[in-house]
Amino acid sequence: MKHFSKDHEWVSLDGDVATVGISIHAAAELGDVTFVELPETDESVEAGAAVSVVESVKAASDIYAPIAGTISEVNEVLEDEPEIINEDAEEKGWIFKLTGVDASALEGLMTAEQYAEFIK
Amino acid sequence: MNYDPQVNKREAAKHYIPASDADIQAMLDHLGCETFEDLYSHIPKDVRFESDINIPKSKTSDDIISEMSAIANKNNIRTSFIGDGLKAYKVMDVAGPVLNIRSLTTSYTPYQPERSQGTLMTHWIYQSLLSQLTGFEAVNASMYDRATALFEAIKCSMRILTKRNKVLVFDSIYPGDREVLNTHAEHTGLEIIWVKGNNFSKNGSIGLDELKAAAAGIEDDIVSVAFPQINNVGTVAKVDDITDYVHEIGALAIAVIDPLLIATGGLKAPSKYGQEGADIFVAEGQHLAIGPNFGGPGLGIFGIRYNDKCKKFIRATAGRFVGDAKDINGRDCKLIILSTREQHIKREKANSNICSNEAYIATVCGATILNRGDKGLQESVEISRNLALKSAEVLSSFKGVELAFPEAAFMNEFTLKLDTSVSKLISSALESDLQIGVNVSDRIEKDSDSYLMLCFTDLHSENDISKLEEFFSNHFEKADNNFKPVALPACQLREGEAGIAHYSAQEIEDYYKELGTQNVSPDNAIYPLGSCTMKYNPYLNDYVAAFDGFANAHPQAPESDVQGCLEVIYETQEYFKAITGLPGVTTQPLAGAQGELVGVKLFQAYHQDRAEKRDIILIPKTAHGTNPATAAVAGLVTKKFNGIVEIESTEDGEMDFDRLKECVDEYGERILGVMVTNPNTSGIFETKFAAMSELIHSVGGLVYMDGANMNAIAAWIDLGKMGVDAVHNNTHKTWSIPHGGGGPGDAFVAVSDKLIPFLPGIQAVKKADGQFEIAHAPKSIGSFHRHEGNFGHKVRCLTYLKALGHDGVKRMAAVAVLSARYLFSRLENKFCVLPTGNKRDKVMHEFILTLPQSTFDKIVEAGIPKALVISRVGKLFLDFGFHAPTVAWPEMYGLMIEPTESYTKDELDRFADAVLALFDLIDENPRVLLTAPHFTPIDRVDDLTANKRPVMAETISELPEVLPNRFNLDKIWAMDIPTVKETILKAHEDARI
Repeated sequence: MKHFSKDHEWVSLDGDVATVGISIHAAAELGDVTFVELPETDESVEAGAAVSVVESVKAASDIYAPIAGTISEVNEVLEDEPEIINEDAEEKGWIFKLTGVDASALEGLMTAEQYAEFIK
Repeated sequence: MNYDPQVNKREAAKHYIPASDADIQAMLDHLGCETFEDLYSHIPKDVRFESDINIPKSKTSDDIISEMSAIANKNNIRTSFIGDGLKAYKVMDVAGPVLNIRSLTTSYTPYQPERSQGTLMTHWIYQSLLSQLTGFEAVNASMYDRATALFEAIKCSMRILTKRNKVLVFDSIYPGDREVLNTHAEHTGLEIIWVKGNNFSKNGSIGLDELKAAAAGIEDDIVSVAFPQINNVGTVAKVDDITDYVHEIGALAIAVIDPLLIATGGLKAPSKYGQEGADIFVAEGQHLAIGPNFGGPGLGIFGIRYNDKCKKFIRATAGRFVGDAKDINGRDCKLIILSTREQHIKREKANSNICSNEAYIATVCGATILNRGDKGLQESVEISRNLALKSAEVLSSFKGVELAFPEAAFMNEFTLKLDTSVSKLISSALESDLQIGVNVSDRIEKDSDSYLMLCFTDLHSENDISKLEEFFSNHFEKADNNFKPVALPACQLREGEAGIAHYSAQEIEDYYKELGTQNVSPDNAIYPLGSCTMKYNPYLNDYVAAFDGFANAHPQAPESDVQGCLEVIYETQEYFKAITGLPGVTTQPLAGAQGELVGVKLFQAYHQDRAEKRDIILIPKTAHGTNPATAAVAGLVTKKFNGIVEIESTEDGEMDFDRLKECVDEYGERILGVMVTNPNTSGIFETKFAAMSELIHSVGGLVYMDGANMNAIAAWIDLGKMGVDAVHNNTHKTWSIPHGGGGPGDAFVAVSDKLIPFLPGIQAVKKADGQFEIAHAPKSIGSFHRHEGNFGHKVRCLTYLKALGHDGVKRMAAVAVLSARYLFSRLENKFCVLPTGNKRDKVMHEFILTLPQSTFDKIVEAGIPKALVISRVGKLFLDFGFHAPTVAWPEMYGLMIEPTESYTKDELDRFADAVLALFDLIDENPRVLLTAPHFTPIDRVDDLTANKRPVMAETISELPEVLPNRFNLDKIWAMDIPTVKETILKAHEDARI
């Protein structure tokens, strides 16, 4: 199940690994993505820290860690094919994974239904 | 070149203002104003000048020519062997004609690619040629100068290797560059470790042992090592060893080179250093394009590797890149790419605060490289090298004269050790009409006066060596010649040919003129880019700047030989003191963005001097992205702390004063200062500016005014009375310097008494005997240019100031405001206004319009996303034969229009008619925006592919094809507006979608 932040990131938890990306809505707002600046692995990040940047031709958007954790993996495919974010933002377009996360942190985020209401 | 005042009606007009008295009266009447005074009636009286500012009255072009030529003649242009930080090479025949292609020199940065293919192609050629010479895949469209390019290179390396934090730089780079690095590093936490580059280890490996010693124990912390290919005493460094060692410790190698000397027959290109080549290179390129011009405009060259191994480096760079692109119908074209790195998008997170570059010098550089071609470049290298060898042999045969570094190889510049005082010898050489070189003693031995460095280029001949020999024979006895030159080892030299194509001056001139037809110029019609002040750029400025005495003065020539240059700087200081109402001026800044940086650094130095630590700067939310980016470059924003506090605006478009008060209460003595543009970025005067200054001063903070919009208020508003502590003016906006397709820009910074002791660069001081001397501020923050800034532009600026005089400056500002307000009154009923509370009687020199909601709805229905509507509307301006206004900034849905004072009422009316017709066109046929622009050489550019897969160079084996305008601009200008509208509609109907 996905949770969403007010900054339009989604996070999905599998065991203690959280996968993070941007919402389909955010990807559409941003327009065609030209570049994704991926974070460095092994870095521990606070919730709300700017860890990555998604760029279109004329805009650059910071991507924040929706919950705290340690970056364990990044989606390197995006380096060569940033358009995956536009094509499949909430599955293949994941950006990074966090380990050592606290599942209760998800409580501060929105459910898919709440997020759908939020972006109306 | 001759000066012809009839070349353009604007040139011949009084104060370069072509509007007649009747025009002006008609516009005033239309607005219900009686005099110019009424245009400023909403501004508090207590910040106005009470009388005319204290500068001379306007002068005629004849008077200016004779006055300025007398000043130029005070410079002594002698046979010179001064090279050092700025070489002087032959200026190619093609440079003059290319410098005179007005639609290229006077146009703006090519942000509208469909109407700027001319500019984009000149940059593409430059990038490609430098790429070919150096072997680097990506060379940007230029930077200010070598010194600032080196600083940007270091910052870039730190963004690539984020986990390391120490930077090593050889101290054998030129002293001017060293000072610029130190100045920039101050307060930023950047630690530069200087490596003794001129020491000689036993194995003759210049600097390598010292590098290893400096790196010992901190190898894993070192981000990058910057080193020159030729040290500042003329010796050639062992670049292979240095590069390999830098890579061995996992750091990045930054090479500082002379691009001319790596041509065929010259030294090794930086991509070939060691096993893998350098990672970044920087260079000065002024000498490839133009004469010394007392140091500037320069040409900072920056290149970075871009291949499968290091694809991401490019994202860490500053500066503009031109990329290969296609339009939506598959035509080849060019485009500015990777813009998201820049301040106008990323603000304080941008890679740099720099907005302008030295675009036009780069353009001329590209043209002159093509004019030299491979053979010409090789010839220049060989002449320089051979003359240096010959001269070293001749001079070292005198008793008491020897090569300072007999075991080291040199290229075309070498250092002699003399048994007499070098400073005295340099002075006495002036009597023989020689500038014999640079005293480099302090680079080699503390407190010595024995080392002289001489430089030889393709400007010299055997005859010049004879002159040197004769001079030396008057001071030294002849002895046996035991000269044994150290050969340059093959590993230091270029392998094979660079393969640069060659074209005649005529071919190049014709080609660049053709490129010019793809642009528009303020010469022909309103160039309505808001915030850019695209006014007319007088020919007279260029004519005067080209005087031999100015163009060929070297910035390191003895003070007595550059009295004319110092007089220009002195007069410029005095004029701008009067214009701003502030008591101190530095003429060094290279552009507005650098002026801001000077300002913030002055604030930091002032507070530090008072032992105060302040870390907060207040900046309005509406500020141009450069302001926050500048604060970041100055060190006020780090990874962990953002010292910028944003102030919102109220509905009327002015800064929210209540919010400001809250911030002052909250941050108090933590406030370093404020940075406020006035008139602000919406073209509205901040009427509470003086009260704001008082509030900021009450907590010890300082006030920076961004003077980008000075064109509206010069000679009307006294900045001293407003409480300004520092202000910059972009001389390429208000003071008529051409924009050059992106640069060179130019600026000055004026300051209050508090900041005078900290000013950077030189001050020109007039002595009692009328002579000029150089002084330095006692607590100077340092230097922002390898020499004294873009001097050639100071000449242009001063020429303009003399033509305007106190009467003209005041009239310039008033007519700029009058023109904007008149235009606004003709458009305000059809469009909506932003900010929504703005009113006609508050409009200064520019204003922002947007479309009514109903029109937006129709366009969105036609298939254009709302976010793209305004930029598409901008494309339709191109079809009417104009450049676009500023689109989507500072208001996302805004069109910002600034007409300037350079147009008649008829021209303003034609523009207004066009904008009204344009409105009707999109309101009636919104689908026209799907196919616009229709008459430019290309259709709308596909910016997505160009940005996703950047290509920044090609091998120039033939001059790239120039696509013709699909509809001739002259024809559009000759049509009445309804006909233009019909023609656009027809083109739309015929267009492929």
